[in-house]
Formats: sequence, structure tokens, C-alpha cells
Amino acid sequence: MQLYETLINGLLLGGLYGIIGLGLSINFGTMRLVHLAHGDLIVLAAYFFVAVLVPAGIPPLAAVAVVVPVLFATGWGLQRYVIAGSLGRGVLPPLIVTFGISTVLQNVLLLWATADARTLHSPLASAGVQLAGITVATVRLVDFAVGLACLGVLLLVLGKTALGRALRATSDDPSTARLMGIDPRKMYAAAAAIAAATGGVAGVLLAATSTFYPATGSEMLLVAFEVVVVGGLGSLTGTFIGGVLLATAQLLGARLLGPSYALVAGHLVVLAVLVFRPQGLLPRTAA
Amino acid sequence: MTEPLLRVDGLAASYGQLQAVRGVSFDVEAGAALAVIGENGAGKTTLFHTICGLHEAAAGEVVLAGERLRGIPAHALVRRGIALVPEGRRIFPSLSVDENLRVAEDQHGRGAPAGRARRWSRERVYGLFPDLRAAARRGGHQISGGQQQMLAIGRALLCEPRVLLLDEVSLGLSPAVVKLLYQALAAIRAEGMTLIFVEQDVARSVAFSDHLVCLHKGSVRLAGPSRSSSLDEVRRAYFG
Amino acid sequence: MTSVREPANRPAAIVRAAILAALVLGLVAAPVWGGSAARALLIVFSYNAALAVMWNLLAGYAGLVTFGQQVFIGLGGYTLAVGCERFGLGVWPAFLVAAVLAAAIAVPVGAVTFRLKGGYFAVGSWLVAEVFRLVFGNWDFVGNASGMFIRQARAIDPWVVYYVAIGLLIAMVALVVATLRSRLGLALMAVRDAEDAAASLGVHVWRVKLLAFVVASAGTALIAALITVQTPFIQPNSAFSIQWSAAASFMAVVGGLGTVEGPLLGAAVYVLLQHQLGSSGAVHLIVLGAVSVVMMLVEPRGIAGLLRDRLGWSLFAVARRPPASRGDSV
Repeated sequence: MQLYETLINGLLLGGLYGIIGLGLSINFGTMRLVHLAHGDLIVLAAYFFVAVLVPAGIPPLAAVAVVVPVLFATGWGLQRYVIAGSLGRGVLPPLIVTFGISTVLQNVLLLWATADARTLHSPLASAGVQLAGITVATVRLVDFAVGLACLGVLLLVLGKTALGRALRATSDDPSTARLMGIDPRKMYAAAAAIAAATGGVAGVLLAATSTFYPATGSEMLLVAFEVVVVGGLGSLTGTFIGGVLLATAQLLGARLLGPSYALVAGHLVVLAVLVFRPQGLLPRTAA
Repeated sequence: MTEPLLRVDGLAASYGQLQAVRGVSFDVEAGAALAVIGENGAGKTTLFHTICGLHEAAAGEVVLAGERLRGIPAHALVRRGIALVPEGRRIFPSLSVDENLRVAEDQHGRGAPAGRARRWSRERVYGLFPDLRAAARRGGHQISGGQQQMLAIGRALLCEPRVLLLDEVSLGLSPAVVKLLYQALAAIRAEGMTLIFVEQDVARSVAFSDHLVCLHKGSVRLAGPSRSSSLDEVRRAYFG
Repeated sequence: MTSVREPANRPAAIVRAAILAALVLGLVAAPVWGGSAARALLIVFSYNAALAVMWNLLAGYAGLVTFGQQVFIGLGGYTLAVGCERFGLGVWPAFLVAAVLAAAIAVPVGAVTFRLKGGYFAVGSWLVAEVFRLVFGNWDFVGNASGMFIRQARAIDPWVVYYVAIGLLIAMVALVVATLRSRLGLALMAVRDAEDAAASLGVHVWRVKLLAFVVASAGTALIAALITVQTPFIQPNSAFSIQWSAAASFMAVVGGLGTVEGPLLGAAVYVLLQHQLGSSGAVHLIVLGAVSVVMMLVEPRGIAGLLRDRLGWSLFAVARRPPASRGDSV
């Protein structure tokens, strides 16, 4: 029974982890960019939500509709005006540039919001619900549902729209995409914007699910990275499933070894995947 | 004499210190077919890449219907009316056959470029290449080389070009398939399309084209109407 | 694609040697002209510069862009702490143990992480550091999250610490210069520039990278031991913190990656900024982060590169320039 409960919670938490990883996956899939500031964008969204919008009296649901476009624009701007200049010159420049952005974001948040932990204080956080024979935190259910919905929207956009086709073509072969009339720089900006927008959703979920502070950005990046590694680079669905697998590994680790071993359990699973099956646990499929 | 549709004037391009294209000039009239021949490394693909904006020109000019094209980025150049069927086909592997076509169609669907009537559609491409219709749902990388070549040509056509550049369409394909391809090209040409093509098979180049240009080490060694050049002259120019 | 040795230039070489000698002499003679404030600043400069030199050895010369060297900061510091507090070692013997232990652990860490490339290697090495942080934070023997205090360290004369600090820095710079002038140096840079090409030429890519990694890790551990002696306590969350990699990478990039003087210039900027901006670590990091982003976009060769290109100045005649951007030829 305990195992069962752990697995269900792993599945649900996996929704949050999955959506955290989706943004990194989109950036890496289109631009081969490991966006080291992605976690901080998530935390930026969380702060914007909890420390700006909610105190201003905006109801949480409406606030989400503000956070996502703002993050979309932020992601677009960062890509277009900062990160784009570092692409195509090797491994180092994008790493230093995104790491620099990450450092600036974290420390700006530190100055502005102090190191105090924040969270969304809402009745949602403490409510529970009966699901499949056990009690689950409502917020976890919301995490999973929203994460799944987000994945669905992304798959739709990528699979069925002209933009989605153009994005996939660009990530396959930017040179030939140009021959079709596609401007790769615009595609990269769009991809980064979409990735940041998913980060916005993740940030709102983060704020609702747990406490956070500026340094959480680094934690989020590591989660995103681990999710992408475990799920493999084949597809967004794979990334999402990777989130579920990672969350389950962490919760199992906590259950079996003790609560302080949750993170280590996850890290060790990821390192094992990196060493023995670097392409990820899931087979490569097209988007 | 009418203005040529496409004029290439003293075009030069290099890779670092290596000059791949040196002072290449030629004219192509509307509706004509120009063959560019030369051995490997003569600069043919670089020439095409430079005309299409994929590679930066070091000197010279490309003029399409009176408009100077040098400096225009590749993705914008397509809308001016030059489309390239690249060497190696370069099909998008993550996309299906139909999606490969749609990518081109998406970019050129909204109103005809520069006031030209829209002539091509996916339906017409499938009509030209029935093999593709059957494979429409399959992954771009799951079809045969010949089908990929058809797809690459269809994709380029959906860009509504005035000039179609084809780089080594027969490479690695069986004679039967090559014959099919050239029949399709003949049909495209019969509609008035201007073609510039690189073809390893010199005899076929001479047979299919109105004019030919022979490159050797980046420069033009022979240029003129295809019929009047003897095979001997061509062979000499080819090998330098 | 690889780099070129600048032709021998007698007068310039003499000027360079003179400047270097003056600097070293100045550092050695510090007790004569400097008080405790200058000493403290120079110690901070020395260990930061040494960290940047080691990071530069990996990223600027071996092509190993890592955000995980804090593993060895933690290991170096903890070896010192444990060696002194639990095993009764003297402080200086503990230094040696720290270096040896770090070198030993660098081998499996390298073996695991080298399978990763590019951004994956960078974050993967960070992940390894996280594992260490979490393990050390939950280990009774080393004091869990509270860490350890090194009692012996309080008795050490600060001028001794000073000489160890500048000694380490000078030794590391000398080591890097010597390496670069050797065949190993050439192999290193070949690996950095074009790994596959280097391999096809017979360079044992893996061995060369591992050697650089082991050396840099041992060096980092020594620096960490020094920092720990100075503090003199150690805690897992700060010892294994990503901030060490952040600082080292920023210093190296701003100063000039792939040059010998680069990390030194970068460390000077870092320390001066810290001095000016005072207590707020956050402001310091914001400025540094922003400057390194701008540097990377606008002048990837850093301050050292700027000086070299605009003024022809360079302090170390090991001028093997790394290609900084795509269109760069010889």
C-alpha cells in the first residue's frame, strides 16, 4: 500500500517535473542549447505571480494569464538580443552567456525579494482529495493535470500548425529550412519564447506546490536537466515521462532510504542513465 | 534580344583562404535550361549556394529580373523567386512526406509572392509524382532515394520559383528513376520554368539543356549553346 | 585552426621577464611594504586567481567546460578538516593528502563525466557535485550540515598563509606555462580545438583530458585547503556550492580564456569589484555575471585578448592564440 501511494504520488509530481523539463527540452531540441537560466525563469515567474500579481489583488487564475505572456516575451527578448549572439560558435559561449543570465537573475531576485522563502498561500495547498484509494494533495493533482494539458498544447502546436512544422524543420536542418523561406533566428526566438512560457506555467505551479527562494532556480535547472536526460531527447512526450520517472525515483528513494535521500536517489539514477544509456530510457520517436 | 531573367556577373566566393568560385558570369533567359558541369571540387555547389544566399559572395552580382540579389539573406531570397533543390536532397527527417511539402507551402501560401500567380499546390506535386502520394504519411527518411529526390523537387516547386536550381538530382539513383525525374523536369520546363542544373552525366546535361557552362577550379572554362559544343571541347574544358 | 607561437622578440622578451620578476619580487617582499589589509587582499586575490587559472586550464586549454570543480573545493577543504581534526595531521601534511586524494577521486569522476559532451558535460559535472554536497551534508563523521571547525588553523601566522597563497599561485602559473610550451600543451589545444581531428592524428584524447583534469582537480583541492585554513571552518553547502564555478568561470572569461594572463586579470577585476561593492555579494555577482555575458558576446577573448590585439601587450610568451570565433583562421 505504501509503495502504491509512493507510485501514485510519483506520477502526479512527475507532471510538475515534466513541465519543468519541457522548456529545456524545447531549447535543446531546436538549438542544441542547454539553457542554464531556464530554472531561474521558472522562479522569476513564481515570484512575479506570488510577489507582484497576487498582492495586487489579481485572482490566481487570471494571474496565470498574465504570467505566461510576460514570460513568453521575456524568453523571446533574451533569445533575440542576448543568447542569439552566442550560438554557432562552439560549446562555451552559450554556456557562459546563459550561466551569466542565470547568475544575474538569481541575484537580482535576491536583492529585490530577499532570501526569504515564498509560497502561494491558498487553501489549495493544504486540501486533499481521494484518488484511487488514497489521499492525494489536491495541488499535486492540479500539477499533473496542468502539466499534461501543457504537453497536449505543445504537441498540438508542434504537430499541427505551420509554426510547429517550421520549428521542426529548423531543428532538423536550419540551412535547408532557409531554402524554404524560414528565418532560423525567428524560429529560435519562437522556440525560446515557447520554452519560457512553459517555464511560466511551471513557475505558477511551483508557487502553488511548494516554497521557493531565489536559489531555487538552480534546483529547477537540475530537475529540468535530469528530466530531459532520463526521458531522452526524442520527444516532448518522452520528456514528460522522464519527469514521472524522476519523481518516482526520488519518492522511492525517500521511502526506502529516508527523506534526505530523495534528491540523491534521483541524482544517482540520472548519473546511471548518463553512463549506461545516455540516449535516455525511452526510444527515440518523432515529436 | 530580351533581358535575361537571371544574370550572374563576376561572382566570387571563398572558404577562408580557398577560392571556390572565381569570377563566374553567365546569363539565363526565361524558360531556358542551363547545365553547369565540371568535375568534383570545381565549385558547382558553392556557386549554387552563393546564388541562393546560403553562402556569402566575396564579389560580383546576381540579378534576377533586374533586381540585385547580393546581400539578401537566403530565406528572403526564396521569395524573390529562386529555389534550390540541394545536393543530397536534404529532406527533413522529423517530418512526413506531406509535411515536408507543407513546410514549403506554408511559407509561400499567403498570397502569391511579388504578385505572381500561384501555380503549384501539393495536389499538383502529387500529380507530377504519384509515388509521393502513396508515401504521403511516411517519414521523410523512410522513403527511397528516388522518392526523396521527387520530394525535394516538389518542395522547391511549392516555393513558387521563377528559377529552379537543381544540384545533382541523379546522384546515386538508378537509370530508371533518373529517367522518370527528367521526364518530370521536362514537364516542368514545358510550363515555362527556367532551370539551372548540375548533372554528373555530361551527355544528359548536353541533351537536356539549351546552354551549358563548364567550371574548372572555380572559373568558367567553356560556355555556349549545348548543341554547338563538341563532346571533345567539353571534355577538355571539364578536365582543365 | 590551432594556434601559432609568436616569433622570438628579444627586447620584448626582456621587458616581459623584467615585469614578471618585478611582480614576483613585489609579492615576496609584501611584509616590507604592506600591512594586514594589503595582505588580506592579496591572499583573496591569490586564491581566486589560482582557481581561475585551474578553470582556464580545463576550459580554455583542454576544452572541458565544467561547472563541477566545486567537488574538489569540498574535497580539499574536508580532507584538511578531517585530517587535522579526526586524524591529528598537521596542517601542511594535510595539504598534501588533500592534493593526492583529489587526484585519486578525479580519475573516476573524469571517467564518468567525460562520456558527456558540451552542455551535458557542464551540467553533469554539476550534478556530481550535488551528490557530494548531499552526501557530506548527511554524514555524521564530517559534521552533517553544520560542518567542521579546524582548531589548528587558528594558530597559524597569517604571513605564512600569505606565502602559501602566493606560492600556490606562482607555482600554478609556472606549471601552466611549462605545460603549454611542451608537447602536452600542443596536444591539449588540439583536443580543445578539434577533438576528432586530434584523435585521428594519434593524440590520446582521453588520456590528455584526464591528465589535465587530474592536475586541475589536485590544484583546486590545494587552493581549497588554503581557503579552509583561512576561514577556518567548512560547511557542505558552501564548500560544494556552484558559486565557486560561477566565480572561476566569470574570472576566466572576463580576463581572457585560453591565455595565461587572462585568469589573473579576471581575478583582479573580481577582487577589486568585491572590494568596492562591499558587503553585498549579490550586487558583485550581478555585475560580474553581466560583464561576462557582454564579454562573451562582444569580446570573447577577454581583457587579455583586447590588450593583445589592440596594444600588442602580453605578459607570457606562450602566445598560442585560441580561435575565438568561427571565422578565425591563423
